[in-house]
Amino acid sequence: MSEDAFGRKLVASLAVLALVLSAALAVVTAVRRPHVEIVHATAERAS
Amino acid sequence: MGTALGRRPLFWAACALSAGIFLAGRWPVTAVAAYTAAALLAVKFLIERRFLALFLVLFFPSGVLAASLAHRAGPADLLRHAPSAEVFVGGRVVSEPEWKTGVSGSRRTAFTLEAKRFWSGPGAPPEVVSGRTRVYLRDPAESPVFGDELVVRGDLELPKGRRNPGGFNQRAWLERGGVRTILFGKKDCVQLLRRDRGNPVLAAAARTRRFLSEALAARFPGQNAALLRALLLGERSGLDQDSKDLFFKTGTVHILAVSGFNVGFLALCVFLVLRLVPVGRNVTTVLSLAAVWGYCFLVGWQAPVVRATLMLTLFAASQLLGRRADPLNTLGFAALGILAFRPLELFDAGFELSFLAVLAIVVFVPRFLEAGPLAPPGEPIRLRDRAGRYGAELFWVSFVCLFATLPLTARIFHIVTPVALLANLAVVPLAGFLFVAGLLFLTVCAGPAALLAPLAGVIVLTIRALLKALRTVEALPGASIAVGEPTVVFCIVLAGGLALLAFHPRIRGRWTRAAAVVLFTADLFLGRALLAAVLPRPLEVTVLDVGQGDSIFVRFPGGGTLLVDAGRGFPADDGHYVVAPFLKARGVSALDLLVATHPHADHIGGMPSVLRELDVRNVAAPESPCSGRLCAELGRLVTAEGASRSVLARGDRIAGFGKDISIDVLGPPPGPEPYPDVNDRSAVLRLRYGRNVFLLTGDATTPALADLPDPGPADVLKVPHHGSALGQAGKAFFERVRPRFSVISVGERNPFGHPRPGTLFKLASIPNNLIFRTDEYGSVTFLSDGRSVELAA
Repeated sequence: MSEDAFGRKLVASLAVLALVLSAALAVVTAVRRPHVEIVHATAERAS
Repeated sequence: MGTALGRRPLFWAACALSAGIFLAGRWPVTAVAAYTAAALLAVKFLIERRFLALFLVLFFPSGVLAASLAHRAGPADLLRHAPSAEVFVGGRVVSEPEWKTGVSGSRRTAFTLEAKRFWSGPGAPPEVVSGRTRVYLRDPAESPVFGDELVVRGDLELPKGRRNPGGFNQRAWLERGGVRTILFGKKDCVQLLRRDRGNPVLAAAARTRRFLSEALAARFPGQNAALLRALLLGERSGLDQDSKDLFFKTGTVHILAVSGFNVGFLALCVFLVLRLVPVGRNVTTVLSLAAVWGYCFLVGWQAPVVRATLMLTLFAASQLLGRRADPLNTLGFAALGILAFRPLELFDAGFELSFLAVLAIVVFVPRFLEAGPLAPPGEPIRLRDRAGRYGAELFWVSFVCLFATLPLTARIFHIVTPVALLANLAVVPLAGFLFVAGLLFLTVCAGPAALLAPLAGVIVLTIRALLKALRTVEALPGASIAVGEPTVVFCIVLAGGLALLAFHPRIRGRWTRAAAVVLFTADLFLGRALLAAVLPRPLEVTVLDVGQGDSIFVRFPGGGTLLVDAGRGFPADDGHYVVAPFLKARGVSALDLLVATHPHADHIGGMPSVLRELDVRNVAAPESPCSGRLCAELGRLVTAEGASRSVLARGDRIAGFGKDISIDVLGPPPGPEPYPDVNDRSAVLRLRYGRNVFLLTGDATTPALADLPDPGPADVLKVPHHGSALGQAGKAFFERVRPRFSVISVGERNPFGHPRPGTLFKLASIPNNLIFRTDEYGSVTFLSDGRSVELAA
């Protein structure tokens, strides 16, 4: 086993955590992102 | 500890002095208490015969004393006359005036005046005063310069502290330069008494700086000259905002601050030139130092240059004496040298970043850089190996500086720039070349034009290459990320984690160590962002202090963002100086909707900066004729941003911010000109969240308020038109709304007399109504959970 096994394991764990966190953040951001719409009072103005 | 103290006494002395200054600036630690505690410790160390510790223990109370003295104004300080209107202050200009020109061609200048005389009004007897005041003038007939003796007529005021979260703290900034008052000059308010009255040596430095600035301006077009002035002389006031932002967003803004980078290149240049001359090594060293001290003097003793110059001097002195200087001890020596004269520099971002970066280079770079010989003994070093070593050094120094300063930069600037590593690899060599070429140009700038033209051409090409490289890097996805204002605890965890990873004995490879550092930082910021996104949050409505203007920010429980108006334009530029920093401090880099209530400059003047600095997705405004340069600029920016545009009118609704949220447009009625006054064509919005209602009224006045459909009661009312006289219609409106909180967005001592006493009286007569004025309280934030509204701390 390489003498830097601890370092590699640490990096792998941190990388997996980063992937999980960024995926979760992307999902949450996409779900919660508002889709703003101006609803006009009359159809005439909406057109 | 004893060994560490013995090897690095100056480093620890600087730490003790800094701790004293820090504590005196944060808590009411008196010098007497600090000296008493130090004396008790001193007795202990004396008994134990620990003389070095005895020596160091005195630095802590000295820091407290130095900071206390720096905070204290003299008995005759101009401060005791502030605030007062229409006064005369006589004194000497002790800083080089900074100039700004607006789009309309209006010129503003600001400089520091050492006050000597004070008159409370025309014909009043003069009083002898002391202290410094910052003078602001608009289109002055005279152009003051360093050393002028003059009298200024104007309004003397106290500088404001932080008025908005994430905003600029003018009081602290001025106090660091010993300035405690500000003087706003009136029209034709300057009477020049005498020229060239300042310290002759400092005046000579100022004259030289001015001469060199003019030489650069004469030869190079606009922003090229401004960039060279920043790079060579540390004068950034001429740079436009776009250029500053480009350096800022790519993490290369240190290039624009004269620092160790400049000192190192200058010393190297002089050293290499002198090696061509048959003089001894010691003479070469002394002359190099003389050049560096001359440069330090020329650029006005800016802290990072003084730091680098002091360090270089100590290194050189130790070499001359045949001794080896300890880098940390040298750094401590530089800190002591600066803090002894200017203790409040400790709170300056430039000072903090400069020392932290050097400390990190000294401590952490050896953990990453292989420092073996480039070639076996006796064999020549190949150019490829030398270049490779230089590249590796540049990379690891940039890497260490980026991550070591990250906790501080995130907290101060609310931004993280992952591309800084890449940008620095390209920019540092180019900027180094540019600095050397610029120095050469300044050295021969009085020479024949034929000689200068090729050099100027090379400089312009280098500037183009540098800016091109930066724009390319800036365009990369994720180049800069707004991270909001991390808490102190977050910064401590980040700094502690990074230090642990840098020194962890079980991580062997430097690339493994670097990867761990990068991933740990990413994990921490991602985790924080995820927590902020999923944790329930209240509705947040902030009325910002933008002087005599309006800007209201709303963050919805679902994370959506709305900005209603953006304050004033030039020279205040609230969009850049208030709104954008506030939003960045809140971690907001995109606006879902930007509403312009009406096209007046105190409401839309700051919008160009907001559109430039943030991602704006939708823009809405009532139908109102808008012409002129500002409106054209706004139209161009909205198109460039790709934001959708909508017209607002009574009866419309704004949807999409969440199921419990409704935003109704109560005014103005449809049509281009429903009222003759533009103010009355303001968008009036009613925001409802659960049981809570916020009413945002723009600048609507009597006709519009009389015509408004019944808004019903509201928890929070943004008082219409800065609290102007609203007559009986206003009274009836307030009685219908019956607000619990009323906020008047108004500028201090505005020329319109806002808020009018009658309006204040009407508001005060509403039962249980708390009135807030932004000129008195600064920004005001309300939080709502849909059931009740409370004021944020």
